[in-house]
Amino acid sequence: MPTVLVVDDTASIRFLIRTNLELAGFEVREAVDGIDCIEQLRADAAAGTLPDAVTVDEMMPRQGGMVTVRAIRADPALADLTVLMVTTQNMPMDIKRGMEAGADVYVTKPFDPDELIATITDLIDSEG
Amino acid sequence: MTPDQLSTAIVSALGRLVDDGRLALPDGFPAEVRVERPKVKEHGDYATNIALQLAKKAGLNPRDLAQWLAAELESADGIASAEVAGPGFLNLRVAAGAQGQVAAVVLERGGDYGRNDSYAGQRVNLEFVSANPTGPIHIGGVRWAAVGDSLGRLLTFAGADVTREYYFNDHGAQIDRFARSLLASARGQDAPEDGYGGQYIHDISADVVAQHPGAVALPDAEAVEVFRAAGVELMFAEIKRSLHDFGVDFDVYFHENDLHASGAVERAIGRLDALGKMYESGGARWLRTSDYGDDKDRVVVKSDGQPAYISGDLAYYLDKRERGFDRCLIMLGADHHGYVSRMMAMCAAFGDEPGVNLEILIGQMVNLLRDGQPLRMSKRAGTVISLEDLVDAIGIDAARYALSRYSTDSPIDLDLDLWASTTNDNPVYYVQYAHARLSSILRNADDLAIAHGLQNFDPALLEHEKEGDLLRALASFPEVVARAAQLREPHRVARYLESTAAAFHTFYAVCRVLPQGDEDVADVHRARLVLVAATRQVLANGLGLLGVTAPERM
Repeated sequence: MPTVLVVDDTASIRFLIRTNLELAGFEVREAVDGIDCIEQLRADAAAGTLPDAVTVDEMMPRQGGMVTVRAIRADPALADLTVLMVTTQNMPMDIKRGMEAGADVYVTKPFDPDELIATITDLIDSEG
Repeated sequence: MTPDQLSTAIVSALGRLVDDGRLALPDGFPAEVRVERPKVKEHGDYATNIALQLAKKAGLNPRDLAQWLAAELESADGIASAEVAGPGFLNLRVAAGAQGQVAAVVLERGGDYGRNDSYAGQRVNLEFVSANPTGPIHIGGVRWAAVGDSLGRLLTFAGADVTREYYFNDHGAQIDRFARSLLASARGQDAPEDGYGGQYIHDISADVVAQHPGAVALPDAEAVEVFRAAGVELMFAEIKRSLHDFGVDFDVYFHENDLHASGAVERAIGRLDALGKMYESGGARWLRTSDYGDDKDRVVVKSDGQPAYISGDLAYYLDKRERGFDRCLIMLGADHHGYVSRMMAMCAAFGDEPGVNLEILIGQMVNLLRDGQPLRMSKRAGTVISLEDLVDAIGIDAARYALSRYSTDSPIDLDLDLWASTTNDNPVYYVQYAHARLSSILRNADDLAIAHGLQNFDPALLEHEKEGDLLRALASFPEVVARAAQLREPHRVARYLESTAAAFHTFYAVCRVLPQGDEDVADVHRARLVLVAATRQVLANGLGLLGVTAPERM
């Protein structure tokens, strides 16, 4: 069962993504901000239980999505993870910035849950 | 119905559940309940996870508590429906009339809409920029000028008594190199190897010579002193002027020397001594910072009796606290990252609470790009890109907006061509244009003699889906600004303005605001004009918090 780490400071968004992913057969973990995300991923890397993909919101307290994605790409133990930015920021400059930071895909909210699942599935399969 | 009103309704519903014995809250009532705008329409207008938060402590199943709350709320004024989702989320739909009322609330509060009292009674010292007067403000300092000033506006809006402070030193090695560079220029010599270059050195040098014509011929030591004193004064005047033009003024310019002259350093050391936080070793006096998370203890007084660098920080922090500031916020560049743990340890050693009494915000680098290439040279400041360079390239509004638009923990590349453009890809243009367009609609209404005040406003007429989206955006403004102040993140306001401008454009594309041709003026036109006026007010309030103008015309 593929695993996805959902990183978002809004509980209802985490719940929305979790519900849809679980219905599609994914196992889901949650992180409440960028620092929580990196800490969990480093522990996962040490334990050999890294998720197959990570969805990251951009605007979060303590550490936002851009910095988090850069931190993932800068850490050799995490750099190969599949990362999706899922965010309300949809200006072209934001999308460019998210991709330059190292996101594999930039998904703007409000999103279609089915499309999100299809995107994650495609990415995991292509990495696969 | 605003999120605040929904919060009150939910708290009242909790109260009724307590009164009838179904709910026990051992920790008391929450003062307020956070409601959020769901990102998926099917989840209603607002959602809250209050049942999930309270159920465990109350010994209840979260879904049961959510069901009880939903039943209570469905009979509340202004709420059309309340539904339970998932493990205990509560999705709320607001009655059309109650939702439209938000527009009236905005217009009634005007420039105060969004003002809150979350920091009421608190005195906040905001220290930012704090560059020594050896040259124009460089681009990193400019980021703090924009963000720091916006944060000051946000905290003031949140009820705090804010003092903007600039800390500087006009002695030491940097200033000495600056003075020698000025003198070399006056004598027609090359800048010293470790000196400062750029046209500004020649300009200020010429001004010093004009003030002190005989200074060039003085012996070196005397000449350097004249150029130091006069040069620093001129440079500082230029810095203050350029910051003022940028919309940033400081309440206090604090001179490092005052700490030593006033005995503040000795007082700080004495205080820490009395608290048992100091000890002697190897002839030096140390502060036990490692007791508070620092990686090692720090020398405060060197073995030769001279105060170490940190002594100034100790004294300055204590001085701020003695001046009555509850919170001291310091904004520093990324090169100061290693400095944070010792400062926080110092704060704790005084018996204060790090993160409350002292906060340090670290700002990452800013790169300017032109034609996709980094800008490396300034017209006037040599190899340093300055405030003037940025303002010359894109103007004050775009500069302030661009620098405040990103989380400070993230480095930014500013594409000057994009930020100077008049396209919707330029965020500041997009928001300002929305404000100008809203103003234009209201001018047209005035020309057609269509009243758009609140006298005949029927909020229930704002029932279109896109009107609902825009109303909910307006309703969330107070929460956005309160959270931006709380998290020290002015960029949340910028992003909010962009999404609200987008909601307006979508509304305007599908909802006719003014009658066309011979069409009679209807109540729905008047109601939509109130919504337009309210949207303009919210954009103006938000832009004001970023120090950016809200143009009537573009």
